[in-house]
Amino acid sequence: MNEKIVKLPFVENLLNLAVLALLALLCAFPIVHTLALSFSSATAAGSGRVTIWPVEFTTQSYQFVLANPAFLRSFGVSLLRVLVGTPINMLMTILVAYPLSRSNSEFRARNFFAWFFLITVLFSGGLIPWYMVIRQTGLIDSFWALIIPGALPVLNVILLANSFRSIPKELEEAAAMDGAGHWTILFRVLLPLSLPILATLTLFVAVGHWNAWFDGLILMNSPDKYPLQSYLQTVVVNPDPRMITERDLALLQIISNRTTRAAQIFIAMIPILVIYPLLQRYFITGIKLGSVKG
Amino acid sequence: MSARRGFWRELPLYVMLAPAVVLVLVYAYGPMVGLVMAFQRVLPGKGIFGSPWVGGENFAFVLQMPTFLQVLRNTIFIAGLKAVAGVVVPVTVALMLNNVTGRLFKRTVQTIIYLPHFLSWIILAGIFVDILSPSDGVVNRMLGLAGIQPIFFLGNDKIFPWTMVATDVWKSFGFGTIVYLAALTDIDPTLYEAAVMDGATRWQQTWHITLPGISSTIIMLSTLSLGNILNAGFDQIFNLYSPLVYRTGDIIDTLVYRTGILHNQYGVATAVGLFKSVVSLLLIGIAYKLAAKWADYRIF
Amino acid sequence: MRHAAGKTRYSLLAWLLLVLLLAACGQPASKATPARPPTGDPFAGLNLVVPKRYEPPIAMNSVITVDATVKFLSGNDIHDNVWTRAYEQLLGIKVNYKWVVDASMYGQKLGLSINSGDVPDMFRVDQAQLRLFQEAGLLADLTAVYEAEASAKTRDVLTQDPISLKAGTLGGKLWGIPLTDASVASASVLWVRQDWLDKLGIAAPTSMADVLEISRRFTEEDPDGNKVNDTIGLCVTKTLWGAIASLQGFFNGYHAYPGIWYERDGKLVYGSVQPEMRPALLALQKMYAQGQIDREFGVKDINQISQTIAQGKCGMEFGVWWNPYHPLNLSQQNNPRAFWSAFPLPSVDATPAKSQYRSAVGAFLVVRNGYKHPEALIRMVNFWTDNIIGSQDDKLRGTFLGNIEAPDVVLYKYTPVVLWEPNAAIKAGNQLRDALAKHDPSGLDLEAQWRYRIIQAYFEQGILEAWVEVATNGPNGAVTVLQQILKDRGLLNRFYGTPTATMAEKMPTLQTMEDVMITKVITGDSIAVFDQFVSDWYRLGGTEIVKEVNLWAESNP
Repeated sequence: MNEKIVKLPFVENLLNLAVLALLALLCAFPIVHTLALSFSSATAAGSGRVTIWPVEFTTQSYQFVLANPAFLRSFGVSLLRVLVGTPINMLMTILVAYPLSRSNSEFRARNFFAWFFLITVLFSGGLIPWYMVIRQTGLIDSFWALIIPGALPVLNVILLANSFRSIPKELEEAAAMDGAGHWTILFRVLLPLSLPILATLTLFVAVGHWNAWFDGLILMNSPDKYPLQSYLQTVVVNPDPRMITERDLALLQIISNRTTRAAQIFIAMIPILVIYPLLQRYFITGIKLGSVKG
Repeated sequence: MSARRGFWRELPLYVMLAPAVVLVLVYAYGPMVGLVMAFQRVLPGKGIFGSPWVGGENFAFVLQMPTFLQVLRNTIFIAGLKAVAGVVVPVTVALMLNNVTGRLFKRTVQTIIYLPHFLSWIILAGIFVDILSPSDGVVNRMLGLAGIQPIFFLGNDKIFPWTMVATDVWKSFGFGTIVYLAALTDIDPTLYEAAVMDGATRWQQTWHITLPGISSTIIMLSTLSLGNILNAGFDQIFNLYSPLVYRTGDIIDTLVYRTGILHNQYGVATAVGLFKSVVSLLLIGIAYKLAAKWADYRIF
Repeated sequence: MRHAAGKTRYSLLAWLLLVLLLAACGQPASKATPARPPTGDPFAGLNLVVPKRYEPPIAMNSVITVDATVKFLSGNDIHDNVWTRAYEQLLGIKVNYKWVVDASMYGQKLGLSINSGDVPDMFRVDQAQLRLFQEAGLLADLTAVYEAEASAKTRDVLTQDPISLKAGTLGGKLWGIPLTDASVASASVLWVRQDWLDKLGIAAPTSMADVLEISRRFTEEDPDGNKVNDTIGLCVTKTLWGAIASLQGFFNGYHAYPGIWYERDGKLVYGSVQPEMRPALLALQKMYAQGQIDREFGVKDINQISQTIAQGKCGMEFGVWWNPYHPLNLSQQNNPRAFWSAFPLPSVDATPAKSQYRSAVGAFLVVRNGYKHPEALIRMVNFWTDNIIGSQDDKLRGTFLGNIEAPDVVLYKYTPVVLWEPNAAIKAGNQLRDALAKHDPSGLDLEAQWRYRIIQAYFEQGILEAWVEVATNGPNGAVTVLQQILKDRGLLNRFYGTPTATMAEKMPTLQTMEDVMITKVITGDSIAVFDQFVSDWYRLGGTEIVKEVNLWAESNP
């Protein structure tokens, strides 16, 4: 536990807390508003009478959303995606961050690989070639299309490599002296000391998988396979007003029904609201410092 | 030090890299072959190898659009502001949070500020139009209490870019704050002990210990955000802009979208993407050199 | 380390459990309880006109869109439903949808599919894609098979609107079957809060001066009686055009026709740069300055406008005939007595206003070049037109179109081959009107009878919600207005071809310029901005486009 040695004087502390509280309120408002909408009646929501409390309380929109097999199905797909994709991404990230965190003398090809990966962040051939490669590798319409093509988040690699580099060299040298090879150093020395950053990255990866919507819409051949956010896109996107015809009436009515949308959004946020506090304690631990003194 | 050098010592590193390299070769470098489309007039069904070569025509097409220069300026302005705010705000908030002793308060605030990240711009657009309304929006009502005239945040083309920056920061500062908080825990507390013993004030401590302690993270994140310099935020702007603010709010991606380029002119779309990538590369390269020179810091 | 290992083990376990769980109930709910009617021909007893059957059956790859409203009866899904069974059993065509995508992604998915070498045998395209794909040699020439196999009914439907087939023709050959629909449906009518008119004692608007006066009074005289100055005269969205709260009808009142091509002095001109736009813009500017148009209309999209309407804040809008179904019906949420009436577009002078509209043919069905059975498409089209269009047989309609009793299971969404008779709504409206006048619903089909009953409910039992039906299909409803428009109060966009070269390149930019100009002038910029726009428009590509359009017109009378 990172004990703050310096405590703020009273007034400044109060000011600090006040500003933070204000920020928190600002951020909380749309969430609370969405929550209120989801429990309000359609008429109250549609005429803008809902602010932070439900008006004409009803659980109708939740019942509607939860009864919809498409919603539940896509929820399951997303859940699976996060549970499968997150460990895979993290493993890949760790395996690449370690070599990249070595010095140039220790790993002569280090710069080459650093640029090798970095270039891929900057340059992209565009949608068609990407689609074609995914198709050639047989992943179109497969669940794995949501996992494999994006399995190496290069930005996370950079963050982790940086974190590895900031761990005092003495620890590694001590381990090497005891005969430890790279694998041992990585898994027994570096990783345990990197829990905050690992927790952070895990959160980002999980959230990234949870929020991704475009790949689902484009790579799947059937809406049955859409992950959650892809499905939500379809009930939230506004049709081009110049192209709307009478045939879109039913869709328009769904889209303008704010309470259902609110309920869907809120249910979609729940898993994250659950994971996040669980991972939070890792952000504020600084275990490694203890071992330096030893 | 160990005398075991050479290939065998490095072998485990190569083994570790192997799966990722294969993955990246297939799914990142593979598609990059498609970059040639930037120089072709892409015909449907003919693919990369069958479409005719047109050289710089696609680029010319975009560059000679009447509003292109304006749009480029807007993109850089908005993205630049977002990059700066995207560092300043999270760092400040992280520092503020770091000073909080109450664990519950700290965790609660941390959780809440991360939440806006999860709402899509489609939803937020509706909320913001309401909140920022000059006639009965909450924000203007508050401003009114302070005697300030109503501001048309979304409809005034001078204010619009700032509105975009502010709302985007609001949505994403939670992310950066987390990273900086994690970085803050890396700072050795003995440094603070020593400083206190030397009689350093809190400001001095922040300036001389805290900020340098996370400077590497700051530099790294801001450099990486340079890679995004020409992505000023399509989702956000697309859902919040209107003809009233095209002059200052139209960015490269919304311009491309409106002209239907994405729909059928893949060559032009690729050209735009290539243009953005090259600019990003240049900027990152410059930042890398600068950081190496001034801060003696290798970003990666 | 223990943490990490423990966590991994935990998550692996959770993962395993979840996979099992999903595998167990991963089957779509619809397959769980097959409640289909027992075997036996589902098509027995229906008097179907069936084209020649393929023996042996042929395969056809296609693609289709669904949206959030598409629902299935139990046991059915997009690959197996009444339509796929009809095609297979009755026509001998085994339709296989290679992919199914949400309607919003269709263009992108199709583009990706085709560009990665995966061309379906039969699929839907828009006008621009029709030209693009035809030029790339991807499409089959349908001229011969159409001549040979199109039924009389098909020919009739496709020629009711003389533009339909022409739109699908390039270089004298037919490349795509147009998916017809009522063109006049895009014409604007004027919608006004009738209860406000009644409250303030205002007569029906017959001239633009009336409209301006109504707008002023709605804004100033508190028609909703809540003693708050919160009502406005005219609703407009930030997108300016479209099916809801558009400006199109207003301009038409000044004989300006933005966005379409029409004849003037023997040549085709573009409406947005004609001088008639000026007085209309000035009038709108004045209305805005006086608060009759929402100060923030420039940032409000149709969802926000729906909210404005639901709150009962605006009294007029220029929209299309079906607006009462959405969003005008929302007015009743806050005020059960709210209702709207449709009016023909009022004119600024003695010449009656014409409501502009464009050809509804925006999509075509095409066949892949190289597919062995291009005539199969024609047969599918025949099957539709011969059996569905104009059918009074309720059992048949219930089998293939949808049931009025279960309105959310829309059966025709299961096939891409869907054409609507251009004049169907008008015809149905006529029938309904006659029936109402005679108080005799006997000649009507099931759906029309249902409408009849609803309209009766309004007049005879005072069921207020029924106003929606009255306002659209009733004796003085929007459909009646459309009829007049179709007869002699409408102006059809004279250009119905695929975009010309310069058009494809420059029109989006020009359109943006136009939208910006209109928004700026309305919100207060000087009218000189309009003049500047006109000269810019010509300079930045308009002149070229005008030439190309007129050239096109010579071979497309």
